[in-house]
Amino acid sequence: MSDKKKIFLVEDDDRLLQLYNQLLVADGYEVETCNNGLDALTKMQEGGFDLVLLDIMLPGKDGLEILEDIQKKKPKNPIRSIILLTNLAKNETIARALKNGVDGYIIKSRYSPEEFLAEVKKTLEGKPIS
Amino acid sequence: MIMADQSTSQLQNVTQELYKKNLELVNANKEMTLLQRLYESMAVKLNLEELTQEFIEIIVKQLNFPGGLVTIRQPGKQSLQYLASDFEKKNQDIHKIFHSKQADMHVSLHHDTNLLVKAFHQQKELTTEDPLKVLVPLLSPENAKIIAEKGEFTSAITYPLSFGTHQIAALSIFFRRNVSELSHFEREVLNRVATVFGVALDRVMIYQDLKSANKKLKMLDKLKDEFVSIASHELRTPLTAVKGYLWLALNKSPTPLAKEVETNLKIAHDSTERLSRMVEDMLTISRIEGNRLKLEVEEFDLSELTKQVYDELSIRASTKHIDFTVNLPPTPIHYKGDKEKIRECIINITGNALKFTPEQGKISITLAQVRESITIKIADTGPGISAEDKHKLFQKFSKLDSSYQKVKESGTGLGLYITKQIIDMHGGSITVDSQLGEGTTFGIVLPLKSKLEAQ
Repeated sequence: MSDKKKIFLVEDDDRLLQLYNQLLVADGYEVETCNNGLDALTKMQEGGFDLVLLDIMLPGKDGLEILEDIQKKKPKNPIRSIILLTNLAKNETIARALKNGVDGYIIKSRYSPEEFLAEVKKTLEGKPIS
Repeated sequence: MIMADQSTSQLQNVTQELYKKNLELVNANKEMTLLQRLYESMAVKLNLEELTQEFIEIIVKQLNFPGGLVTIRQPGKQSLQYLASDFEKKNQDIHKIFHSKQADMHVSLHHDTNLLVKAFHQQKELTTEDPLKVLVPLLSPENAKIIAEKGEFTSAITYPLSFGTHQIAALSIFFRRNVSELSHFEREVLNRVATVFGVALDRVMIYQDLKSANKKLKMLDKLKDEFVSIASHELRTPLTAVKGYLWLALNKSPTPLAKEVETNLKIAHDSTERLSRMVEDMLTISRIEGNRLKLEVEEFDLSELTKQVYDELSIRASTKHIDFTVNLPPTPIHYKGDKEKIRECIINITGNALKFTPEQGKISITLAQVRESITIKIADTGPGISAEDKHKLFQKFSKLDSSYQKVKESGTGLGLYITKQIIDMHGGSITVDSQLGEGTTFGIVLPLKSKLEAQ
């Protein structure tokens, strides 16, 4: 088994999905990707990720609904941390999510790739394998 | 006897004189009451139809005339359109005819035998002993005849209603006697009433124009806000992608980049960066204008935030060989506000200082707390701002003249406007102190105990 951190990346814009995928792979992470809400939920119910990067606006089922679902029914394998991907500045929805087990959020349009990777790294380091 | 006759006739004279004076008083009182009612109605009625209806009713009832009507020239139309009328209560048939026909009751402005049209064109009062000259072709000759007979109208007088050069409408009053039998008083009062009527119509029409123009403007403004908001949202995602891929190409290229390629990519990256800052500014503005900008209040250390901003901007300062310093108080300053937005404000003002201060210049950020207020002072040795320019600083899209135009890197002109709005929302203020050729000091003043509540 490789000691690479496993990241599940959910983003509906394919260009951004590929961009974040390349950034994460270049930084040495093992990445699985998904571009819609329903498949994302299935994968997350299976679990087994160090980090899930979860877009809020998704076709099929949005990120916040997915969060509610996996809170009701815990994943088979643990998901160590979750970061929300959003286009909006912090608002009440995000504030609530942060209280409900989400570890952070990334404002896509504001974060440079360095900041994006720094946030990922910080979150993973803050959650050592228990 | 002669003496007695004399005194009788003197007494008669006095009595007559008294009677005359008394009549004048009664008439003057009548006129005052009438005008008073018209002015009252003018003050409360802001709708053209309602005002006209009330005016004609007041005139007909107060002066005891059998009936009257008003036609108005519709904007852009070559005709006078029936607008309102009033007839004695007993003439129900007349009311019925007018009521059922009013939608298509009009007379062409080319119909030069109609008295309403004539008075409208000639702008003077006209009289007739044939009421049909007023009623036809507003009504068919048959209907007009019925009305004249039922109402026993034998004459009519018509006034143009206008204000200055604004020819608005025409008023007709019907009588059961010859026009020559109208008293001097009646003619005089009608004249005055026509003048007041013209003023009232002009006023209410201006009001209605303004109201509809205002409504249209409000709608356009809302559309603009929505457009800006949607456009900016839609622009964000592709912009983020472009910026990201350019960064990838620059920083994670599997093979070394040729120098020219690297330079070109850097320019592309920086331009995209600028573009996305503009999009963010536009979005913020559209939120401010739509009252949708919300503060995310939390408690934080303002001292630490200031230090962070200083560190962030130090690189830019050193490439311009600017002596960039920060002065912080020895202890943290706990402040409750929107951390990200306050950060933007400090970056904004300091960024401007960096932009405009020439090489080898000096910039300092000083954070201080005096009693209940916190001041963040950003002082530079830039070109300074003239007194005339100072008041333009915080306006939307403001770009200053003078030395500021020499700076190539121009922004949206929204930065200071946004900064001021955000500081205002925090209950603070911004001060500007500047001398041309010496430099500028901006001060952000924030109340330590803000009224904002942390979430």
